[in-house]
Amino acid sequence: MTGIRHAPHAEPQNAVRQRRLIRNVRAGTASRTATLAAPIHRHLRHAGAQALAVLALIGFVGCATITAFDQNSLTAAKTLKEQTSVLILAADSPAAGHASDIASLKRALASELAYERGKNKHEVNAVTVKQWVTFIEQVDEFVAKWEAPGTKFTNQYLKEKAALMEKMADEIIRMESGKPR
Amino acid sequence: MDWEKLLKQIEQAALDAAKAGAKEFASAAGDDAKAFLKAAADDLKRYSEAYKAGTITKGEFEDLLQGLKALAQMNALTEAGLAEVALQGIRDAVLKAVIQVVESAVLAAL
Repeated sequence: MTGIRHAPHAEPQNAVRQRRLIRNVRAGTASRTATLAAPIHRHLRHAGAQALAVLALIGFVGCATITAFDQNSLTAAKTLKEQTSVLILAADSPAAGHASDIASLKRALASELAYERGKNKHEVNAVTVKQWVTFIEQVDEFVAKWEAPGTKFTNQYLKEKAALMEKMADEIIRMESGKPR
Repeated sequence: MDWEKLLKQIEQAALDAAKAGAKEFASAAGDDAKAFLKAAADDLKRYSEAYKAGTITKGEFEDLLQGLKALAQMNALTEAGLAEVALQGIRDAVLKAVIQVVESAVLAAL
């Protein structure tokens, strides 16, 4: 009882209430413990809920959900954009004459995808990984058509395809550039 | 220290920081979406005209349409990723605002 009466939250606010309480207890119409403790408990419950909400917010804030900007990734994306575009524009002649360039680009793309997957712990690099998967699928489909016997692309198509692949690479570049630094 | 007052100040600071960040992001995302749709519409028109004029084959036209679809997916991924970055920025701003309020309150109480 004494402990409650001297609690820091209760004493300044309850001076009037305490006098009323004493009167009520003397009259036998109230329990001292219940009358004093109820507002304190209400206050503590309210403050406790708010404090928990703030702690939850701070905990939520503390978790990074996306990888930080990576200069290596940005440089690789720019290089692969150019390599891909150059290779597509070279597809006005048979693929057999560009076998080493095709193999080199495929190796570089696979290597970049592996690098990005390596940063994808807890799915924090999922967007970039999915973008590279889509980009590589497009390159693979193009190369498969190019390597098919008798394929001859029109110049207009090659220009449009190269431009389209550049725009796809630009999306990867935009994503990397927008990551927190 | 008046805990009730402090908690209310924290709540308000967090709300203000979140509102400011969300407003800024919504505006930028809207502009990006409009720019992408306009560029995609221009590409589609050009592909159609090239196919009609016979400068690209039907197979090439179909391949470019598929490519445009893949580009739209990549754009959607970028927007989703940038939204995540913005959200992280908002959360950081909220934390900073909360810390500032608490810091001020603690210094005032000393």
